[in-house]
Amino acid sequence: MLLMSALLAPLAAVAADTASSPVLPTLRFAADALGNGFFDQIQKAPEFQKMDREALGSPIELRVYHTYRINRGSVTTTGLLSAVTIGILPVVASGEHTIVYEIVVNGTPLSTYKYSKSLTHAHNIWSGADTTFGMGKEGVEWARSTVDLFLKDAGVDPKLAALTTEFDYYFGAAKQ
Amino acid sequence: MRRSCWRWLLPILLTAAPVSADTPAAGVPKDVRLPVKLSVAIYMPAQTRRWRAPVQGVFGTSRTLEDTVVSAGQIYFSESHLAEAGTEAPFSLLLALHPEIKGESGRLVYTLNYAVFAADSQPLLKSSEAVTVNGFDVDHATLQATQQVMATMINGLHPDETKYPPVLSLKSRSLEFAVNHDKPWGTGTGFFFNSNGQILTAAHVIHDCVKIEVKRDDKVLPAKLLAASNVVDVAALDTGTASTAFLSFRRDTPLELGEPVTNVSFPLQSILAATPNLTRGNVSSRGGLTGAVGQFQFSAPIQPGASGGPVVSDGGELLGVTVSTLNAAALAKQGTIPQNVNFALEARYVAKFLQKNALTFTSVEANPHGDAHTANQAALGAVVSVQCYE
Repeated sequence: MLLMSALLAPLAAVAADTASSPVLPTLRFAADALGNGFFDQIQKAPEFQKMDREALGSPIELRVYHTYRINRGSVTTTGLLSAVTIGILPVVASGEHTIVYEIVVNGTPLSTYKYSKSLTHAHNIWSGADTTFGMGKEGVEWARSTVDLFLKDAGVDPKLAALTTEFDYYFGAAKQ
Repeated sequence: MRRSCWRWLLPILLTAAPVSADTPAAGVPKDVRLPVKLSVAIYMPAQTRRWRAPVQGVFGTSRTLEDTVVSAGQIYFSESHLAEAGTEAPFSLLLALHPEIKGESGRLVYTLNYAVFAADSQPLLKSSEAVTVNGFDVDHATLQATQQVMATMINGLHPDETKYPPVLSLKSRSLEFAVNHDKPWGTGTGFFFNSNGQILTAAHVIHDCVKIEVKRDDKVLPAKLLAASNVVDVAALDTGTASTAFLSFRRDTPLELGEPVTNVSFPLQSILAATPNLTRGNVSSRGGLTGAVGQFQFSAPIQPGASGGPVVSDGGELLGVTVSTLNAAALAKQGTIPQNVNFALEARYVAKFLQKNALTFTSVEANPHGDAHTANQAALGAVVSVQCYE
């Protein structure tokens, strides 16, 4: 009896997950340079297993991008000070950075998930272009950590469940 | 030793008191202390808000125009946020921004039309600021133009919370007063599908519209949204005015590859006359792009503004609703120039949409005696221009 319970419990948990997070129909993935690196992590989630970069005609699209605004009360977002005499030329960015995940249906946003953090990052201009999108290495790590938050929020979003239901109403038989 | 100390100290100093490069509080007298203690809501057409533009500099990032204008707002006002219909939070002034962008000889001419509102629906200020920047730096142009507008607001109104207390709310007030009524934000095509004055169009034509109008000949009718599905990209509108001309659906006759079709639309309304454009072609494929569902491909030429128009058989029956075309400009960059690769939603899915929303339509047996003239008359009689104001 105990053995039976142990075997059944995981199955029940899987069934519950499936019920709350329906697999979305084929959807297109579009992202900026930062978000492009999140594709594999997102596609591993059952809801997004049909995500495809090449599904150009799909009515559903996941857009991932980074944006920022200056902090409230701050007068500046970017500082540039010529300090040639001491050999450095730092550029400082300070602002509220946001990673945006948008589920878009035929060009119209259905659900938008935003994750924000205030970050300040200094970059020496002589070391070439900044590869951290003005967020610093820790900022990029934080940005990557928002994927899990997005998957958790999307998994319980009633709008996505309703989207799947509506898609089935129209294309149930032709669903890919 | 002293020099290496500065090496790590300087970034810290800059972080604590950064020197402005791209956001000087330009245009405001020195005796005005910024930010002015005032709550300002900023209205922008919804589609403009979501535009993303690269930000110049070493960071290789980009931001949405809504973040650009709110960033400017943070400098000039103690509180600035985007105007969202239905929100309760009170504010003092509403700033409506309507950008227009044109490219001229490698430079960007950015005109920011604006109006400032208090409790009254009549604007306190209404004008425009123009900025010209090299290249196509939309972010920089937006930031600069928005700063100029905000400086003009402060210089012209000398606003503070005593003069403009934070009593405005968008909880029950429509944003229609903030819309640009001078010209539509976008236009599309629609057609009557019954005699009750109800119209079908593409959902993306009317999405985010604060006000919708339907134009037929010289007659302009206000239209109300009845139902929309973004999944199939179709919307139904009500004009409240009966129409004797409307399109019926073809019953029990599948699309035939190669069958002739007529498309009628009101494209390129900013440069073409407000008369319908009629083009002829064929059903060229039963499928759309990879991943598309419910669409067929047709070859009758279409232009921007054709979305929502009917695709009609030679019998005069509705076969589909125009929803998209291949992006010729994007493909041309890859060395391919598509020719008349256009997509319509099949009429059977449009019928499912109408049934779901309990809207009346008629379906008829295929007319075997029709020809191009029959198709043209049916389509031309039912079609209208749909205008979206934001």
